[in-house]
Amino acid sequence: MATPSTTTPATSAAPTTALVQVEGLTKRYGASRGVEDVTFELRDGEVFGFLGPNGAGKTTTIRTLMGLLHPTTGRALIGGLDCWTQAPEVKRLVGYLPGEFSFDPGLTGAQILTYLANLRGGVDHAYLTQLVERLELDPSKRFREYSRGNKQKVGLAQAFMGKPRLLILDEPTSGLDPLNQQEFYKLVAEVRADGRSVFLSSHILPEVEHTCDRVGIIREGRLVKVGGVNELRDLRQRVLEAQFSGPAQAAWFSALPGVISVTTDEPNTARITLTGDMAEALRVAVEHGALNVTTHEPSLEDIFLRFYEPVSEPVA
Amino acid sequence: MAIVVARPQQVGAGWAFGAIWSKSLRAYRVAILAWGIGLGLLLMATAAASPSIATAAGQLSSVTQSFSFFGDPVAIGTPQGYITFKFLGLLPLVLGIWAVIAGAHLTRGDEESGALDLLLGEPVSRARLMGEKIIAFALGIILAGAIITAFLILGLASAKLSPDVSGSVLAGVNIILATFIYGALGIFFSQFTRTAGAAAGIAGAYMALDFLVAGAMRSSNGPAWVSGLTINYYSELSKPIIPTYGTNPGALLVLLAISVVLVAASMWLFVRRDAGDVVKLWSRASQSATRRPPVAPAVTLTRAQGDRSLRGVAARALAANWLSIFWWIVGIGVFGVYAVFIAQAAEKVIAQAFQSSAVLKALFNGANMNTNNGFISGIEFAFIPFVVVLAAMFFAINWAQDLDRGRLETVLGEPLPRWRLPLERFVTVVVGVVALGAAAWLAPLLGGALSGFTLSGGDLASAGLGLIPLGLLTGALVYALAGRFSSGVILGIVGGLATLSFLVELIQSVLKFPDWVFNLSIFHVYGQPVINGVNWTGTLVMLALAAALLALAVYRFTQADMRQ
Repeated sequence: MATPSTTTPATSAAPTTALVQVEGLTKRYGASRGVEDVTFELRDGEVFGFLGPNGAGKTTTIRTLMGLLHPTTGRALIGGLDCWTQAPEVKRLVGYLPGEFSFDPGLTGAQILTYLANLRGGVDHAYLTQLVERLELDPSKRFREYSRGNKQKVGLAQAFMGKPRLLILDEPTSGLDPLNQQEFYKLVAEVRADGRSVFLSSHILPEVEHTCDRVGIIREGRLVKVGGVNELRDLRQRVLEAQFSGPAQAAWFSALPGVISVTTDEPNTARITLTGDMAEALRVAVEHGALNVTTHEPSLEDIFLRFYEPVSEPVA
Repeated sequence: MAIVVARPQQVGAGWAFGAIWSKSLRAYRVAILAWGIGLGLLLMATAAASPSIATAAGQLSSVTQSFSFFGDPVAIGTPQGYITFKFLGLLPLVLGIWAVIAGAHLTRGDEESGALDLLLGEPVSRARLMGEKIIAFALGIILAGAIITAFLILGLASAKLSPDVSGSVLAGVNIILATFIYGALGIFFSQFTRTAGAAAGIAGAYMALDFLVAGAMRSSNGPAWVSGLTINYYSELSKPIIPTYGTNPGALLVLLAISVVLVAASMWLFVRRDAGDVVKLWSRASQSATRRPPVAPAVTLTRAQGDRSLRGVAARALAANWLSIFWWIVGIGVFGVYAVFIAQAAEKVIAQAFQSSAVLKALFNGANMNTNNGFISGIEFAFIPFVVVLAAMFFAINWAQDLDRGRLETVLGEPLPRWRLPLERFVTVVVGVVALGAAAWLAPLLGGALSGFTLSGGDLASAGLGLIPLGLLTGALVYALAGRFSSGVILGIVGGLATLSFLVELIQSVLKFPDWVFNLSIFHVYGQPVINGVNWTGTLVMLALAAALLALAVYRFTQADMRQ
C-alpha cells in the first residue's frame, strides 16, 4: 500500500515493503515548474494509479523515477536504490513504457522486442511470444507501418516481457481499442497476483477504479491527494438543489460548514456543493421557504475534476 | 545539466508565422547568412588576391587542357579567369551541400516528424503547401547567392578591377540556378525515400557523379551528348565575369528548365502519393502478388532472435549505417581509381609545366606535381579529406537525431549504464572512418595496378590512414554538440566549419593569413602526407581533441536530463 505523506492508510490488503520511495521530490526546468515537493510510497504487490491533467507533472515524476531526469531536490528510490545514481541497477527491477513510445521506424516489431530483450537479458521468449499473441500484435510489420495502438502494443510487450518487479507505465492504454484494454487489465491483474507492482499514469477513472489499489492525484506539480480508490469515494461531495418561490441568494448558504460552492444560475434555485453533514443546509433552505429539495451523489469524475480545478479558482 | 533550455518567446518573429513560405524561410535564415557570408568572404579574398596570379598567365597556355577536369580553364591568367576557375565553378557544388540537405528535408523532414499531418489538417492544398515551401527554399538560395554576388563585386573592387556588376549578377544567377537544381534533386528523391537522410545521400551522390562525369568528359574530350546530360556542363558554359567569354543564355535557360521540370515532377508526385509514404515504383497488384503469406508471431520472433545485429547497441548502430558506409566507400574508391587515370593522362604535360610555373604550384596548394605521388596528392587527396569529414559528420548525426526525436527513451529504460550508449554508438563513426581511410589508401593502388602507374604504397597508407583522425574529430564534435543543439543546427555548424576550412585550405596560396589561422583548419593540419609524410604532431593533437570531445559528450550525456 502506498503511504503518502498527505493521506490516511490504505484500505486493501497490505504488503509491507516500500518498493518505491519518493521523498520531497522537486524538479524544475529553469524557471518552469515540473513537480514540487512530491512525496509518496509504493509497496510491493500494489497497483498505483497516478492521475492528473496535462502538464500536472505525471510524466516528470515517472521520468525522474526512471533516472531520465535529475531531481532538483529530494530523491526517488526503487528497491532502496537511488533512481539517478544507481539507474542501471534500478532498471533491472523495472519495465518501462514511455508516454510516447518511439523507435527506429525501419525495424519490425519482432526486431525491436528482440533488441530490447537482448539489452535487458534474461527475458523468457516463450512469455514474450505469449504477450504478442495476447495483444494481437503482428510483429512482422515495421514500426513505421504500425497504427498508434499497435505501437503501444509493442511498448506494452517490451515493458512486460522481463517480468519485472515493478512496471512503470505512462498512460498505458492510450491508443488501445477496448478489447486490448481488457487484455491489458488482465495482464495487470496477473502482475498483482504474482506479487509484483505497477505504477501507472492515466486519465481514465474507470480504468483506475478497475485496476488500481491506490490513487495519487497530482495538480500543478503538487501531489494533492493519495489514497485507496474506495477512500477517494468516501471523500465524495454531495450536491443539494433547493427551489424557492423567489430569487435564491448564495449568501444564505456560503458561510455554512462544509459548503464548497453555491451557484444560483437557474431562476429561484440554489445549487449547493458540500461535504459532510447536510442537516444545516437543509435547515437554512427550509427557513427560507424552500419548495423542493433534491440531492445528487457526484460521480468519481466529479471528485476527479474537483482535484483538477486550478488552485486560484474561487470557492463560491 | 539540462539538455532542454527554455528560451523566452522571441519577440518580433511574428511576421514569419503568417504563411508557410515565411515560416520555412525563417528556418533557413541562419544557413543563408552562414553560407552566404562564409563563402562570400572567401570569394572576396580570392578576388582581391587574384591580380598577383594573373601576371603569370602566359605560362599556363600549354597545359590548360590538363586542368579541365576541375573546370574550364578559360583566360586563367586573368584575375576574372582565375576566380572563375578556382572558385566560381566549385561554388554550386559547395553551396549544393546545404541545398541537397535542405531539399531532402523540405517535405520528408516534416513527414518524419509528423508535422506534415498537422499542416495538411489545415485548409491548405498539398500543391500550395509544397509550392510555398519551394518558394521559401528558392528564396533562401537566391538570398545566399545575392550575398555571395555582393562579396564578389566588393572583391573585384578591392583588387582595383573595374567591378562588372551585370557580369557578377549573372555569375550569381548561374550559381543560384545550378545550386537550386541540386536542392531540387533532394526534393525529388525524397518522394521515393522513407527518410530525408537517404534522399540527401542519393542527391549528394548524384551531385558528385555529375561533377565527376562532366570533368571526365571535359578532360578526355568525351562525347558531347554525355556532357549534355550533366548539370555541371551547363553551369560551366557561362563565365559572366570573364569579358572575353560572357554568359550563355541558352545554358541558363536549360538550367532553369531543369529546375522547373524537377519542381513540377516533385509536386506531381507529392500531391498523388500517401502522406508519410513513398512513391511506389511498381503497382499495388504486383505487390500483392509477391506478398508473403502471414507468418505466426512465434516464428517471426524466433527469426529475430537469430539476428546478430540486435545483440547490442554497437551492433545495431552498425547495422543501421552499413549501407551508408558502403556507398561512401564506393564513392571514395571510384574516385581514387579514377584519379590515377587522370594523373596518368596528364602526367607529362603538367610535370613539365609545373617545374617552371609558380602559378601551377599555387593552383595545387604547393603540391609537388613532379612525381606520381605528387599527382595523387594534388588530385585525389586534395578532395578526399573533405569527403571523409562530411561522411563522418553524417555517420555521427544519427546520434543527434535520435536525441532530438526522443528515440533513446526506451533504450534508456533498459539496465545499461548511460555512458555506454554514446560510446557504443560512436563505434559506427570509428568503423566508417577507418573503412573510408582504407578505401582512400587502397583505391589508388588498385588504379595504379590497373593502369601501370607506379605509386608508393607506404605514402598512400600514410595519406589514407591519416584521414582517420579527421573523421574521428568531426564525429566527436557532432557528439559533443548533440543534445545542446538540434541535429539541423549541428549539421549547419559542423558542415559550415568543414566547408570553410576546406576552402581556406584550397585557396591558401592567395590568402594572406598568418600561419596560426591556417593551422586552425584540420585540412591544413592533415597536410600532404603522400608527399611529406604524416604530420605526427598534428595527428596526435587531432586524436587528443577527438578523445576530449568524446569524453565531454559522454559526460554531458550521463549528467543531462533526457529530452522526450
